[in-house]
Amino acid sequence: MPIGLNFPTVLDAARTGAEWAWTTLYRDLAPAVLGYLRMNGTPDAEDLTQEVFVAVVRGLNEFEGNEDNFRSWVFVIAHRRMQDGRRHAVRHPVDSTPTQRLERPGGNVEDEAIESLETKRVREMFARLAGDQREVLLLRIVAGLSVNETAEVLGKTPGAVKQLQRRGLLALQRTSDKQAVTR
Amino acid sequence: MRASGDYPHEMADLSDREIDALFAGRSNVGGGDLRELVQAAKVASQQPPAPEVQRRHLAAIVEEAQITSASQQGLAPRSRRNKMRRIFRPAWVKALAIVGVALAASTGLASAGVMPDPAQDALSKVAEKLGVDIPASDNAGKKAEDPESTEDEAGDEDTGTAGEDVEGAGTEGENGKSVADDVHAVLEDETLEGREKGDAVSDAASQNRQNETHSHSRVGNPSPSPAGGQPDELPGGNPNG
Repeated sequence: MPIGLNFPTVLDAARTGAEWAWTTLYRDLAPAVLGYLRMNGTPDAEDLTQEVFVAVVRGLNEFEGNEDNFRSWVFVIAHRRMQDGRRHAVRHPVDSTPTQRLERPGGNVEDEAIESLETKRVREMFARLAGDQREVLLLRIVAGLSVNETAEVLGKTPGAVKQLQRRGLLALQRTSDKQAVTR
Repeated sequence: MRASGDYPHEMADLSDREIDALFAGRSNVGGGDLRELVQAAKVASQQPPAPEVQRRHLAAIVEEAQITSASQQGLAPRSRRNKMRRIFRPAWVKALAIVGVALAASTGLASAGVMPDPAQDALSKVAEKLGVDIPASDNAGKKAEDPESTEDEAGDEDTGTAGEDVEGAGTEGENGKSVADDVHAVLEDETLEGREKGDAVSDAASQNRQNETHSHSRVGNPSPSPAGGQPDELPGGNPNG
């Protein structure tokens, strides 16, 4: 739910460190950020969500723009953090994420237990997409970004984003059809 | 990957606008499964973190925000001052540096007596008022003292008896300083007053003039070197001695 007309006030208050302003921004964007990270199969999505918001706090004074720009900027940070995490996982494969999951109370194990079957099915379908198709579709659907904003986040041209979203939808359609036949 | 033509009933005819509408959930486009899938993805992604996770996140975010805000409030005036310094300090520094270098260079050159005569004279006058001893140009001294002294010096050079003459010139300089000191001493002598003091100053100054006259006479009429001979004077003098 967008903040709307109050966004400039909230942003100014957030710059002064007002708790209510950060609570407002967090509640508006955290579900989408967390959903984007989870649907992309990011391990420790919750921890990464916190890192994203801490990075937003540190960079807020450099930010200029409206609510749409802010949303896009937050997802630029989220996407880059996710890529950094992937690179880190490639360089340090010893890090045992499943162990961390089991050890942390209230972590992914519990979340996955209460997750609905429909959500699990959707997540699995997106997991089968190519990485760039999945990222484009999630930024468009989950983050609610426009084609241009998505292109900016991913560092691609709008034309490339349109092409990727079309192919991604085709792939989702195909997977859905196969599951329907199987069922 | 298959082309979009593999699903002509679903995707081939979807325009960019219709895809936008599909993502926004505003349009009944695409197949039923695809619409449901997009909506399910939206619902799945809008699940907020667990309450305890939210509290943990918000605590970290607010703490960071307050630290950042406090540090920026503390640094802002300093950075503004630095900015002002960056704007104005170069002008101060440059101006002071230029004036300082110019003064040092001109004073040094004037003290060495190697500046052009007008500049040397001007600086000498200014320095004299400030109590600094900077010599005037040679020409100014010659013009003021004795126009013929140039000829005397030329004769001096011609005679080749520079050793003695230079020594004499040095004596003149020393005498000049001592007489000036004498005059100064008389001026500061509190035991003398009125006419007595004036007479004393006059005597000291006349002593100076006598010395100068004596010195000039030595420079202008150098004694011939007994062994060296004076070739330039030979034609005019007595070749037989």
